[in-house]
Amino acid sequence: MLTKSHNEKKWRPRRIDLLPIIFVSPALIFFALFVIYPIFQTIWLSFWKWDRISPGIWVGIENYKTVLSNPEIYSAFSHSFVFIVFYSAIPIFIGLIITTLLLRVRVRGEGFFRAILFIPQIISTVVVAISWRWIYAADGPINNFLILLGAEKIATAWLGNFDTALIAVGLIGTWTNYGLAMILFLSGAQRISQDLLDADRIDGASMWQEFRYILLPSIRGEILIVLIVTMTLALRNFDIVWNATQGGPGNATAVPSIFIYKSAFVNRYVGEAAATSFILAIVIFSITSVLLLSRRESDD
Amino acid sequence: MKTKVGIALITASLMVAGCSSPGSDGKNSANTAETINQPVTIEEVAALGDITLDVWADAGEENTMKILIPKYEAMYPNVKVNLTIKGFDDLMSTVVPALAGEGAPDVAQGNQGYGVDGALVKAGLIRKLTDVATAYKWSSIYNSGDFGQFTWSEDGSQYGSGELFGMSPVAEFVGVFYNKKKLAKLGVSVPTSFDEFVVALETAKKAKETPIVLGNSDKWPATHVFGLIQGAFTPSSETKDFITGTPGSSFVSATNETALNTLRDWIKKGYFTEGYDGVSADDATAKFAAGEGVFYMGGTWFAGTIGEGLGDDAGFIANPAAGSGKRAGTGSYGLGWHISSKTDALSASVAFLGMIMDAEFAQDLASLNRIPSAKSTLKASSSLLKDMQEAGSRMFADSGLTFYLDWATDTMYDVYTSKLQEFMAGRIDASEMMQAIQDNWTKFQESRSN
Repeated sequence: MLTKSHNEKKWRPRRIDLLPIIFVSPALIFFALFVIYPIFQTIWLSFWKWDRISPGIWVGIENYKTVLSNPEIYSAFSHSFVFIVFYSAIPIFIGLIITTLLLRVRVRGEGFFRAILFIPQIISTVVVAISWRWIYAADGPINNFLILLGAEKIATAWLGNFDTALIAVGLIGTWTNYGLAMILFLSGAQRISQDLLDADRIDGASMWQEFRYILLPSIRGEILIVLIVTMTLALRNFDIVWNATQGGPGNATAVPSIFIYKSAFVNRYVGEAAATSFILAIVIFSITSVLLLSRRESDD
Repeated sequence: MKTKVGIALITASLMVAGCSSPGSDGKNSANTAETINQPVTIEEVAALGDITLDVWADAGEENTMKILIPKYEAMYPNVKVNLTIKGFDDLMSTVVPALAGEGAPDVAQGNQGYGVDGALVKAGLIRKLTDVATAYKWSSIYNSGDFGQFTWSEDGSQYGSGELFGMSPVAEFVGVFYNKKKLAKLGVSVPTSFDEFVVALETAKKAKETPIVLGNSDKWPATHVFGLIQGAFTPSSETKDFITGTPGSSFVSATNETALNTLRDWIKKGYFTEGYDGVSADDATAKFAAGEGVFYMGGTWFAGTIGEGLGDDAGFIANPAAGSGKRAGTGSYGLGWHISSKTDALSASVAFLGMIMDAEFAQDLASLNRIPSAKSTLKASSSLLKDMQEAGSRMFADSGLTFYLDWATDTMYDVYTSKLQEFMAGRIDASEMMQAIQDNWTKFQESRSN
């Protein structure tokens, strides 16, 4: 009987409550207009041959074929994957080291240092790239320092050398992103109770053990966020590369966004630019999904 | 609920995004069918009533406009010029869609070649100027042999002949700047031939000077250096035919190979600024202007910076000639001025071009350190400018301005600049370099004929 009444209750026609929808509608409209609509417009444009002036010609998946048959796009993607190491892996590593140290050692004026270390994250990337161009220059401070040490042979135009340009640009990304990792990890670490840390230290835990068994499990969420944000930055990287090297020398630092920009705005192959954008979006979406799914599974 | 909203959003977006083909609402109707038979009169312009003339120009024109616009507004008091100045890259990426859109400028600068002017002509966005050239007798003021760079078939498919679609009153070309004091110190006279130039480079290197200052992080400066070496070996007509898309043209040639290998040889010998691929063009110019190095192979547009820095020590020669004795190298008329097909102020637009192209305006251009391409004799304000004017007349006399290779196709800039950097770094050889250029050209020619 009880079950029946329960079912009856469940089957009662529900009244649609409009109020929450009204509340979220501004955000929803904004999201639809500036996120959903451009995404579908890009997908739509990727099926056309269009030069921004003449009427477009429907070409089906031809643009995708053109993009995917260009060997340079693969090397551009491979550069992006190298950038993941510099934009994501190394900053996370540095962030973890700083957090572990600050957990153990109380530094006077910690807030001040934290702010200083976070500065690279908030400076305009154009300024960052131009400053590093100067730092990396043939007669810039890095080379001057090397010459001072008697290592003239290593000195080179770091951004102009085919062998060093990719790494040099990557390190600019490391410099801008480690602050984000550090701040998020430190805020996560604040949730760890002092009692736990005290107990653990009385028991004689090493710094490694404290890192492995206390810090790491506590900030897993933050690590995932940093991983997603920085990997996305590495993959859709444009401003730092464009302002530091324009993808050069040759195409040694070219990334997919450089091709997208040139196709869309310089050469006016809008369809190809849209196709490349969509491929890039799928790559980013796939990686992010795998990360989120792995998190969900490990939570279960 | 969530799913339903999602589906609704997706459907709505697809409907909005996908209901029409891109560009289908573009109206390229021409308001400019009227033919110009005589220079436009003040009365004809006055008949338009109080109007605003929208003009888009490259940043390099800023000072020229400061002189021209007050003169123009004084002569045609009913016209107010609304000037938009844009940096070169910005202008190139926006001028085509701007001329295609609503509120297109009446007068605008494009860029020769298939990338910009070709697109404008093909889409019918700019007006033919053949009648204007005849009415204003431009062919008697300028070297009409070089008008080809502004001529197109009416459908934009053929470049280098047909109707005139643009014009510029200045020449901009690459030549060799030199530091007089340094040359004197080295005991070297100003080179008059390519061989003498090579000897001067050797002497400079031995004296531990940087023979040629180069900054190539922007990728294009080395193409200008190569353009000069190419000009010494390859006949200018061959290079121009290739750029304008003359059937049967080829970049793969023995003379281009010699030019490329000469460039590579100079790199191996350390004739260029160390780490040039990591130095910007502006920084390199500033270094040369501050007294570093002996030569600087660069465009006349750097005369301001170099003249300011080196003063009377700055000299300039046209590209030293090799065997043929003819001087040739990268260069052309300046960015072409165009009239929009949609302008509703045709007479005012024509008057604007008429004034900037007028022989009398050439002296104003010369006063701004620019090189007027008019055949008139001008007073030069500095020895550097005098050198450049002389070099310009030599280049024009030999029909030696070989344009810019990136005009050849709409994607040539990327291929040429990147491949040249790879070649200079020794990652590809001369034949691979030439083939890459040729392949891009062939693919473009095929796509045009389809």
